[in-house]
Parts: sequence; structure tokens; C-alpha cells
Amino acid sequence: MNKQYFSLLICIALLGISACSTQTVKSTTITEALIEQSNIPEDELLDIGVAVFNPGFDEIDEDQQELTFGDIRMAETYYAANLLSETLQSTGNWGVVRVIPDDLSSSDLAVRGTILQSDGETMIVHITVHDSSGRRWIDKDYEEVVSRYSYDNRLQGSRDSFQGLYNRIANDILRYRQQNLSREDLLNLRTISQIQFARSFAPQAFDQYLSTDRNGILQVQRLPAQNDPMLSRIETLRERDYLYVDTMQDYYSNFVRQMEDPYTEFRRLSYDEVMKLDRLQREARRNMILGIASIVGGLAATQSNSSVAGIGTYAGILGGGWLIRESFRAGDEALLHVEALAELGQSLSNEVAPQTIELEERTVTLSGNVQTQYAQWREILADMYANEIGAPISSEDM
Amino acid sequence: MGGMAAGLPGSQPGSNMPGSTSSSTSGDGESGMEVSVQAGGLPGLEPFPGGLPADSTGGLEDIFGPGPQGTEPISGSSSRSSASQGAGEGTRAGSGSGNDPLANDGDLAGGAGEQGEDPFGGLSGSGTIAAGGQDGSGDDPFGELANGRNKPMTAADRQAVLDDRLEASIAVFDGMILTEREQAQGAATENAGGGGAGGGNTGGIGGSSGGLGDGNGNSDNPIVIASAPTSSSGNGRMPNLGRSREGDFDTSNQASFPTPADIPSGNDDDVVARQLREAAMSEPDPELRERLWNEYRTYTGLPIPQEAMADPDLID
Repeated sequence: MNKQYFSLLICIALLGISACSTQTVKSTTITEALIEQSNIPEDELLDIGVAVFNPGFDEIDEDQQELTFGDIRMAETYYAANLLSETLQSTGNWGVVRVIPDDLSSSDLAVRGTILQSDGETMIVHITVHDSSGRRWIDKDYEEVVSRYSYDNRLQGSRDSFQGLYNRIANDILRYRQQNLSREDLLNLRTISQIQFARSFAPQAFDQYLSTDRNGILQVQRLPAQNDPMLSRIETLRERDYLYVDTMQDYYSNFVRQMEDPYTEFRRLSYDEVMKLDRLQREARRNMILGIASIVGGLAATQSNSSVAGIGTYAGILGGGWLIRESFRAGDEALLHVEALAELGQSLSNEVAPQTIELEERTVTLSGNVQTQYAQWREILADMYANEIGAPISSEDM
Repeated sequence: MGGMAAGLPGSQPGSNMPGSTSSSTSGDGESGMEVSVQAGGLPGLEPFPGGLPADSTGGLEDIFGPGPQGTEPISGSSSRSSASQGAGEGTRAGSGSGNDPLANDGDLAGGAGEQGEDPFGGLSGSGTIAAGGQDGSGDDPFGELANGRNKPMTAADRQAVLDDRLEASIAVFDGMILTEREQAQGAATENAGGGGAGGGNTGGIGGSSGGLGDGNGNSDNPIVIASAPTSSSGNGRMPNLGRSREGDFDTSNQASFPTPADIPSGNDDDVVARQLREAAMSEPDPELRERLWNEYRTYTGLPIPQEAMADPDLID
């Protein structure tokens, strides 16, 4: 008898629970970017190269694939890198911060990111930071879940909805530097970067100044003479490299400016759809589970011949059936929102895809021309070095 | 480069040496003269016919001139080493005793410029000089040595050539980058609608709490909390360069003055013209600006305005 009453109570409880609404509380607090108040000597300011993010296509879960658009994700790789670069630059804690299209080896700090998830509600990125000696500073995932208020211009202003995520990344990089690097370490890193750049153009002349320890960390063996003519030439080339990077930065900034408005609107609209989709999917799952549990409970009550158990049987089976039906309904409605999201995504894809292609073409063209020029410089510097040491020169027109 | 052209004064290119008579001109048009030299005791040499010039002292300098670098005597133990030889091995290809010009019985591969400044250029009865691609048989073994005519390049010369090549290549790069930057900045102006192209500020260093991030405890580096970056226009954010650093390229604060009406668009300007244009456009002093424009006009072949012609100070 007690067993039947217990089964009845369970069924009623389950039905009651299913009627309760769930709430998710979202916080509107945004992590602010930290700034060092004391003046940092200029020679201690590290330059940062932020690579264009990896789109993370290999990391997309199966249930996310339907809602992930390749064109939008590719555009986000530039957008996220540019936003992180601007965040770091604006803090004033660092030297020159730029989005670097290719080799980061001569940057004081190299930041690389992979987008793991990005929709209107959630953004997850994996960030690694290495310095020029090869030491790893950061290797972790960052996740940000925003509320609908993040898309309210009155509250957010013109900040990106996920600005808090970029601020946290910037803060972590700053803390690592403050906690682990002395002035000598910072100067050493800058020296290594300088020699790395020189080595990339004239390895014969500058290989001797760096060595790698057993942990793969670069060490400065000795320094070139300050009046080394080869070094002064390298410095001239480095100025040109800065020009090239600045030009690429202009491209990226223009691209971000063009896509920002439609992208923000897409995320705002997709946020609503994602929230509804999440709610419906949760509801569908919950109803399915409860419905099955109710039916099972009701079937268990049929084993008894008491009238109470009989009531429990009907309640369980009928209630369970209703829950399962609601589960399917929710699932069908969720599909509508999936389609709505897909439509939003396709619309934005159509808009940003040509811009992304144009950006890639321009950057590839410019990079190609620049690399061709760099290759010529390497040849000339190799000849210069050979001439200095009296080795045969390979140039045909000498 | 580095080869030895034919013909010493008084020698006939292609004529047999020694002992040939000639009064031909050398390759560079100098008038020849008949000379002879008493070279007794020097193996492989026979007197030139015709005798020495009247004011000669019978020395080799009278015949060959001071040589490429002064008047070092010829000896078996010395050689007129170029800077490269002094610094390195002083290669003379094919020579077993490179410092003794008279003892050389091999070919001299001077075409690569590695040959030392040996005024004889190697001498033997059957020696050939491969420098400059000349056929050795019957050529003047001395080559063009006097007065710096086609002398072998020194290391400093080679360095200068390489520096010139590097500078030329850098100039090409500068032109390319400047063009790209102009296009990028023009596109930025269009996209921003002229309003927010230069936007991007720190968003204010708000918060005077001075609180540390997470219990850092480092009192030497107090941290303030700052608001996130905002843009002035809301349409986009240009990167905030923050503090400028020495050597960092920064054009964000350059003023731009209008160009005169007679100055074309400058799309086909080379690097020099482009630099003149940019200097003129950013020069606040009107007189200096006009001078720069006149330099630009002169360089690009544009006519200089009448009012500029009337003021000699505006024309260099």
C-alpha cells in the first residue's frame, strides 16, 4: 500500500515539477581592462603580435555545425584578432600591438587564438601567448556568456558585446608579466626579438648570437656591436617591416569597420533565437524525460489492485503521454528557430563573404609582394656578409 | 666587371707579347705610343722596341703608370692585394704562388673580380688571361691596369654596389607600401564617412580606486581599473597607438595642406616625387611649402609658375 502511494506521489511530483519554469540569471557585469598606473619605461614595453584567429572548424561540435557558417566564422577570425589587438593597445601596458598576418617569431609577444564557439549568447576562444624566447605565458580557454542587455546600446554603448572576454585575456597577460618578468627579462626579450628579426634576414651573420637551451628556450649568447653595419641595415629593414604591418593593420581595421554593424545586428538577432532555441531544447528534453518517467511510474502502479494505485496509473500514463507530446512540440518549434538562425546566418554570410574574399586577396597580394622583396633583401644581405668575410659572392652581376 | 680590358698604351690588342711593335690606341681611345723597356734579369720579359719616352727613368711606372693603387714595386714577395685579399685568402684562381706575379704559370680567372691588383696580371710564355673573357693566346697579359681603367673591384667597391642595390630595392618597397597605404586610408575615409576614421581612444582611464587585480600585492605597480575602449563614432575603432616609440611609423598626426592647382594627382609618382609631395603637403610654413612644390615641379618636369619665377628665393 505504501508502495503505491509512494508511486502516486512521485508521479504527481514529476508533473508538478514539469510545470515549474526555470530561470537563468545572467549577469551584466563586464570585466574591465586593467592598466598599470606607474609609467612603464619605454624600453620595457613589449610589442605584441596578434595572429589572425584560427576559425576552429575542427573543433565544432556536431550539434553546433548546423548553426556555424564558414563565411561568418572566417570573418570572425579577423574581427576577434583585431578587437583583442585594440584592447591590448588601448591599455597602454604594451608597446606596439598589431594583427600580424604571418610570422610572429620576431614579435616580443605572440598571441594566437582559436574560436571554439561563437553565437549571439556564447563565445569561447582558446588563447596561447608565447614570448620571443619561446616561453609560454598563457594556454587556456576563455568563455563569455552574455545577457540580452549586452546588446542594449544604452547600457553597452559602442563596446562589443563580448568585450569582457577580451579584457580578461588582456588582464591575464598583464598579470603574467607583472608576476614573472623582471626588467632584465623584458629587456632580454626585446633583444631576442631584435636578433630574431635580424636572423630571419641574415642567418649567416646573426645565428651566432642566439642559442637554444634544452627546454627550447632561446638564450642570448652575445650581442652584436652597436656600430655593426649589418645591424644598422637590418634596422632599416625593420622599419619597413613595421610599415608593412601597419598597412595590413589598415586593411583589417577597414574590414572590421565594414562588417561591424551587420555582424552586431546578426548577433543580437541570433541571441534571441539562440535563447529561444535553448529554452525549447531544454523543455523538450525535460518533458521527454519526465514523460517517460511518468509512464514508467504509472505502469509500475498497475501491478497493484488498490484504487489509489489505479488513480496513479492513469495519472502517470496520461501525464507522461502529455509530456512526451509537449516534448515533440517543443522540438518542432525549436526547429523553427534553427531555421531562423540559419536564415540570419545566410544573410550575413552573403554580406561579409565578398568583403572577406576581398580582404584575403589584398592581404595575400601584398604579403606576396612583400615576401618577394624580403627574399631579395636576404640575397643582398647574404652577399654583403660574404663580401665582408671574403667569401665568394653568388651574385651574377658582381 | 673585374676583367682586364685589352691594351696597354703602346700595345696592340691581340698582338703577341713580348716584343711586338705597335702604335695603336687602347680600348678606351687613348693614343698609343711606342715604348720599350729594359727588363733585364726579369724572366719572361723582353725589351719593347722603340725605346723609352724621353723623360722616362726607365722604370716600369713610365710605361704602366702609377698602377691601380700607387707605385708599389713589383717583387716576388709582395702583391698588390685588394682589400678582399687582405681580409681573406686573396684568391687567385689557378695560381699556385699567388703572391709572385712573375711566377704565375697558370690561368688567372680574374673575371670574378677576385684577382689581386697585380700589375702584370700573371706572366708566362704560355700564360692566358681568362679575365673579361679574353682569349689568352696572343692577348696582352698585362691587361688594363693603369689609371683605374676596369680595375678589379675591391671589397669596398662591391659593398658599395650591394648597398646601392639594397637602397634601390628599399625604394621600390617604399613606393609599393605608400601606394597601398594611400589606398587603405582612402578606403577608410570612405567607409567611415569622414567621421570616425581616426577614432579609437582609451575610453577614459576611469576609476581612481587603485585596486589591484587579484591580490597581486605588488605595491610598485598599482593598477587602476579602466573602462573598455570606445570609439568616438560608434562605427569602428582604429587601433590606438598609445605612446609613440622611437622609430615607430606614425602618420596619424600629420597635417595635410591642399595641393596647388597645377599639381596632378601623382598616381604615377616615383618614390622621390612622392616624398616631395608628402613633404610639401605636410609643411606648415607657406614659403617652405612653395619651395617644396617647386622642387616637385622641377623633378617631375612641370613648369614653374610665373610668380615663383619672379622670386628667386623660391627656386633653388
